[in-house]
Amino acid sequence: MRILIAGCNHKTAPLAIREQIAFDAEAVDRALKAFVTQYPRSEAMLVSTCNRVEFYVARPAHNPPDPRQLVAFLADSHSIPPATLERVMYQHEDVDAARHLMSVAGSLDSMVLGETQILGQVREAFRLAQQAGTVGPVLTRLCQDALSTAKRIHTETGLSTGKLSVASVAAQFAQQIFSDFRDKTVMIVGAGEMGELTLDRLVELGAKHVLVVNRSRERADALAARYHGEAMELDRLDEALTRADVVVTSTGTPHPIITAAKVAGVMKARRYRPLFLIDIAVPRDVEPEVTSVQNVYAYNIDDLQDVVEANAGSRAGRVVDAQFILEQQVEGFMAWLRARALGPTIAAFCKHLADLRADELEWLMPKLANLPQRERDLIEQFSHRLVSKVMHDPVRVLTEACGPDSAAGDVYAQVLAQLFGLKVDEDE
Amino acid sequence: MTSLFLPAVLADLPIAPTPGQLGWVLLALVLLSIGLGMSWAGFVERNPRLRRVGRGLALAGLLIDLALILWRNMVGRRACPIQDNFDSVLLFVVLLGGVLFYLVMIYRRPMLPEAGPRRSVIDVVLLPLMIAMQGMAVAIYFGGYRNFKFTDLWQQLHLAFLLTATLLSAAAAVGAIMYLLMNRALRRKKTESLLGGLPSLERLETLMQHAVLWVFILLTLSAVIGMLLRAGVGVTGGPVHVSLAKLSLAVASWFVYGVLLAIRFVPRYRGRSVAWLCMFGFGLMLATYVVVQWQRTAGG
Repeated sequence: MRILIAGCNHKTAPLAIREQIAFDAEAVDRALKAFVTQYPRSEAMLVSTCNRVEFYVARPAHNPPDPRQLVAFLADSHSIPPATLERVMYQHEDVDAARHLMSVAGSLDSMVLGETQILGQVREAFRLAQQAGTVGPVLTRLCQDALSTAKRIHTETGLSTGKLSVASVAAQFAQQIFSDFRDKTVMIVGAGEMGELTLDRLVELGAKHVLVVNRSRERADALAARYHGEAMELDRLDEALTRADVVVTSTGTPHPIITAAKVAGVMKARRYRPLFLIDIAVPRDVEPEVTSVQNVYAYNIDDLQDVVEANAGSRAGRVVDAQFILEQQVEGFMAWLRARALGPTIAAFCKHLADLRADELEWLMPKLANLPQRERDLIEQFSHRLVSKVMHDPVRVLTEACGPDSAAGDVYAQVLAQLFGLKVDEDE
Repeated sequence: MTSLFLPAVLADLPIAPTPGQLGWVLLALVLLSIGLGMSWAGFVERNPRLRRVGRGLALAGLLIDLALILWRNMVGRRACPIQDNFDSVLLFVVLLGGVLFYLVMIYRRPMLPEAGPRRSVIDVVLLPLMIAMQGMAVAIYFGGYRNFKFTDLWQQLHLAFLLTATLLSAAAAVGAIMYLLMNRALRRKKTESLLGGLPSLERLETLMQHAVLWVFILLTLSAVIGMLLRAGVGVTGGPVHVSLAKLSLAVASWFVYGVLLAIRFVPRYRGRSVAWLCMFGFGLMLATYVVVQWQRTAGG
C-alpha cells in the first residue's frame, strides 16, 4: 500500500483560501464517501481544522489516485480551479506522508507549537473516517501511531508546557487593551473548543460577566450555565455587541456575522468603549473592515501566528527531542508497513510449499494404500512438519529484514519470489 | 494682606555652579546617554541584561544629579532646591527619573505567566527628555544662570506647583506616546504589542486622565498665586514682572488642560485625540518651564 497526502496549512495558504476549502463534519462524510466510491480500493481520511485541510489516502501500490488527483478532488469538492489549490498545497508520499501526520498530531507543525488541541482534532478526523467507513488497516495503524507519537512527545519532552496557545495569545492581546477584566463583559458567539478555551483564559483573568450567543438556545444555555453567564440567541447580536468588551467568535457560518456596518452602528450606544474581537472561526465570522472603526480591534486566527512563532523559537531544544521521538515512531510504522507489504510474498511462499506438499502426497498416497491408516497419518504429519520447518527460517528472516534496523525486506522478498518462482499479487 | 502669606524665612546664598559641578553634570549626561543607548539596543535585541546595565547607568547619572543638588543646597543653606534655574532643571531630571523607575517597576510582570516578563519601553521614551533637560543644565552653566531671589514662600510654592504640574504633564505625555505606540501596534497586529511591555490602553487612558486632572488643579493654583504675585499682593519687594511669553504659554497650557479635562465627558473624543492633545499640552508646559528658567527677573 502507498500512503499519500495533499493538504495546506497556515504556513502555505492564507486564511482566505483555507476558509474556502474547509470541511465541516457533514462535508467530511460526503467527501470521504465520494472519494472511496471514485477510488474503491483506497482508504481515506480528512483533517480539517482552522489551520489546515489535509487529505490522507492509502491505496494499493499500482492503483490511482496520485497526489495531483487528490488536489483535483479537493478542488472539485469546493468548485475551485485545481490550479488555485496546487499553488498552496503540499503533497507527500509514503514515509514523508507518515512523518507529516505524526508531526501534525504531535503539534510540531502547529501554529502553536506544543498545543494539544490538534491531538483531539486528529482523533476526531479519524473517528469521522471510521464512521464513514473509509479507513482500513493502514490508515488505522497510521492514526494510532500518530496519536501515540503525540502522547510520547507531550509526556517525554514537555513541549506542551510553558507554551502560548491560541487561547492564551488571544487573552494576552486582550490584556493589551484592558487592564482590569472584573468590570468587563466577555461574549462568546458560537460554541467550539477553541472558543471555550479562550473564554476560560479570559475568565481566569477575572472577567465576571459572560454572554453566550448561539443559534441553538439549548447550547447557549448550557455554556452560560457553566460560566454563570447569560445566554442569548443570535438574533440579539446587536444588543450583545453593545454590552460586550471582548468578543470571541467561533461559529461555523459561511459568511461574516459581525460586519463593519454592524459594529459602527453599535459604537455610539457603547459610548465608544474599546471593543476587542477575537475571530477564531474559519471561515471568518468578523469582516476584516471592522478595524476601520475607531476603538475596535479585531484579530483572526492568522494574526496570532507571529506571536506563537516567536514563542516557538524559545523552545527549540524540546523540538529536537520531539523530532527524535518522531523519527523513531516513523521508523516503527514504516517497518510495520513493509512487513505488511511482504504479506502477499509470504502467503505466496506458504501456498507454494503447501501446494508442493499436496502434490507429493497425492503422488505418494495411492502407492501406500496397503499401509495401515496410522502410518498414512504419520506420513501426512511428517510432510506437514517438514514444510513448516522449511518455511520457518525464510519467513523469520524476511520479517526481521523489515524491522527498524534493516530495510532489506524488499530485496529478500524479490529473491525469495525468484528462487521459488512465486506469483505475488502486491495489491492484495 | 501680608498676613495671608507665609513669611520669607529662607536663606538664599548665591551659589553659581562651579566648573567641578559642571564636570559632574557632564558625567551624569554621559551616563544617561550611554544608558539610553544600551537600553535601546537591549530593547531592539531583546537582551534584558543590556537593558539592566543601561538602566543602571541611567540610575547612576540620576544619583550624581541628586547628590549635586543636595551638595549645592547644603552649601547655600537652602531648604528647597528650586531657587535657581540650575537646581530647578536638575531637580526636574531627578524627578523624571523617579517617575521612570516607578513605571518600570509597576509594569514589569504580565498577568499570564507564560508570556514572560514585559519589555518596558518607558525608559526609551523618558530618557531622551531627561537628557535634553540635563543638556539644558549645561547650557545654563555657560551663560544662563539665574538666581530667582525668592523673597517669600509663595514664590517658591508657585514654582513648585509649576514644577509638579510639568512633571505630571510629562507623565501624561509619556502615557500618550505609549498609547499611540500601543494603538498602532495593536492595529498593525505586531508581535511587539504583546511582548513589548507597554501597559494596556485602558491603563494608559487612566494614567492620562489622572495626570490631566492634577495638572489642571496645580496649574490653576499656580496661576492664582502668580496673579497675586503679579499684582504685588503680599509680596516682599512689590509687584513681580511677568513676561508676555510666559503669560501666553501659561494661559495656553491652562486652556489645553481645561479642554482635556472637559472632553473626558465626551465619549466620542477618547483615545488617540486625547493622546495627541496631551502631547501638545506637555509641549506648552515644557516651554513655559524653560521660559521660567531663563527669565532674568526674579520670582516669575
